[in-house]
Amino acid sequence: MKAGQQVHEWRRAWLRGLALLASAMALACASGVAVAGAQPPAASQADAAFVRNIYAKWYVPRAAEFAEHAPRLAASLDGLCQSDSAGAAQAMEAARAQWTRTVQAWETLSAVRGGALLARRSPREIDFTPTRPAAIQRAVRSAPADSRAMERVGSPAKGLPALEWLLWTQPVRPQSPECRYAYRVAGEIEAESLALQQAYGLALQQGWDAQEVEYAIYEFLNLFDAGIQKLWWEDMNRPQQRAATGARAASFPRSASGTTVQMWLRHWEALRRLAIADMAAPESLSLQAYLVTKDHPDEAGRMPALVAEVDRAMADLREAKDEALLNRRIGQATASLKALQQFVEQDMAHALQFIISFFDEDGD
Amino acid sequence: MARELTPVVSHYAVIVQATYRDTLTATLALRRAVHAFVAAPSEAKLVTARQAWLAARERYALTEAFRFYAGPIDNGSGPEPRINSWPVDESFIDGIIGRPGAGLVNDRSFTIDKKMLSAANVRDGEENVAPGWHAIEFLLWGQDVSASGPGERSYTDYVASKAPNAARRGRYLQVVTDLLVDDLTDVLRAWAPDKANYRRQFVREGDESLRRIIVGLGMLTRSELAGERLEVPLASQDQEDEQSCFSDNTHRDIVGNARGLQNVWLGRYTRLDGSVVEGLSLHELVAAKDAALAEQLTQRMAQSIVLAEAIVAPFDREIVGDASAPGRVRVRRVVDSLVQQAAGLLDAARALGMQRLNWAPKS
Repeated sequence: MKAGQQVHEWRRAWLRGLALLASAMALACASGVAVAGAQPPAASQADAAFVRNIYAKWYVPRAAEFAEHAPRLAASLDGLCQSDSAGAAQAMEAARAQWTRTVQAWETLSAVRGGALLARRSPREIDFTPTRPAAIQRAVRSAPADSRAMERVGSPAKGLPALEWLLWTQPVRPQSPECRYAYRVAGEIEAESLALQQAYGLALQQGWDAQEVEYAIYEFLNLFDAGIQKLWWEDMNRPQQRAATGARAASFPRSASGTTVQMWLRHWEALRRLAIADMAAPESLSLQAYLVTKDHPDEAGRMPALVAEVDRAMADLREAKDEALLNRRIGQATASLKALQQFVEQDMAHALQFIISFFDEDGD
Repeated sequence: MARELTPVVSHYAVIVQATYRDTLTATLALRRAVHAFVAAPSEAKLVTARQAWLAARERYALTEAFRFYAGPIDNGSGPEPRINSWPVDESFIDGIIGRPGAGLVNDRSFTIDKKMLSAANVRDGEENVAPGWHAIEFLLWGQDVSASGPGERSYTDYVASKAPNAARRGRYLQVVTDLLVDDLTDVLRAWAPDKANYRRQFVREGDESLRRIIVGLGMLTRSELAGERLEVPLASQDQEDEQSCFSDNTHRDIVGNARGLQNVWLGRYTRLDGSVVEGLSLHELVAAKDAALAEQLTQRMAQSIVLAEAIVAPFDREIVGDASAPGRVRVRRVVDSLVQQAAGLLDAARALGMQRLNWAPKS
């Protein structure tokens, strides 16, 4: 047997395994979502199973993680505001660490902004960028006393980027109006996290009819595509272009906290987990397995190489020790992400017969 | 190319050309008013120039339904960034409260001509807008610091004995208005009938052009109008995210965009002279596949316009308040209707057998 044949045989065996895995997943999950009184065709069962998995294995647990961290963020801010001068530095460190953990959970949950994230416009509510310092300062002066008053504060002064500004750029002091405001902001994030957790749980509980399944798949695939584009365009390439023109506000997201690359890696890791089947975890959810279920093994077989390219480029970003090197390596990362996006928009969209469409973050 | 597409795509080109022609006509009237004002500044002439801007803007808003598919207006080298960039950092153009000496107007080392103003546009930052609708708007109205009305620039800003750099300010206003006329003329030329131009190729590429038409409608409906122009200001509650903030004309921009979408869908456009351009439309093409869907979308577009017309000026006050504030509720209703409209456009695209409708950045 020649080396090429060996590879071919290995790939076929691997794809057979993947197909069996995907079929098993479809059968295991479909029973819970079948429309009463009518047995949907096999393809619909697979689709319904996939949608249920998106919620059961992704959105619900990821929303739970975010909802676990967000209250701790509020508590850490409360601790900071209550601290005395002796404990202030330690309290600040704890608040910053908890902000980082909360943003990590948010980056993972929001990598694909479907379902409640889309319906509630959560990214615009709690992750509005760029931060507007003047808006934050105005909001601090207005000293909002409750959640009703916080409704009158615009998103650029609230959310995770605003807290980053209050914790790193203009660090708040204990017992100060700024600290009290930061605590309010954290409270808003906590409330949103709980609302998201509840909304995803309720959606899973209620299930989907055939039409809703079709829409949910369309939404998920489109927003997976949008998640890739956000990473290379909004987060990497666009700030780079702005910086090249000398724009005053040009900087990468999360740069004040020094967590830019860390959060890009989180975002990518989430997309990656949704893209590629984990052979070691038979219950895992992935677009690759879904492609196999839908009888598109060739497309499924092409995904690992594309994902591996992004893996390599993202790992290189992590190793970049200075901004100049980071800027150079961003080119490799965007190229590999664009190749993956092209695969999604052309090959995968064609195979799965879904329409790549407009969503709310595409304007100019 | 499917035979039934040709008349629909051809008629779309007729609508595009007629709308740009009327926009240019109205903008030429603006130019006359601006030149008359600068030649002999007075309160009355300033008011006339402002009214001309509002009238021309009303037409331009309709043309934004012809964007977002890399056509002549915004194909990368197209003039859209010179025509309609926003938000504007007004201190890049002229003095503002607290910084009266700011801006290109007051920078005597800067030569005010078309070439220099084109080159200066978005230099060193996206908000450093030098020419276009909103530069003219700022020069006519000035900063909007009033909670209840637009900017209140005095005509004396253009009187040499009463304001520093008045002559430079007047020249700036004239040059950017001339530049707007030039750019609109170029776009109109690309859509002129019976020429070797973009329009000829557009009509020839029926299937692909039909996709572009729907992409333009969908992008303006969902991503730009519902998203960038309504949802973002709703979230931020900040005047910075209001498009025509100096004149407080944003509510009319929104209505104009919604009407432009309807014009394309129905293949019907009422010209400046009152005559009506009608022909085979996207609506009829979709109705042949799914009559109920086409009718639903027609009704939805009409509803979006009604809801947009219900927005109360000034828009920057409409977006402020808690979740139950009446203005925010009104704006939210427009967003919700546009989101439904975008879903209807998606269904229409599917009915026509299309697969790819998104926009992807080129870089």
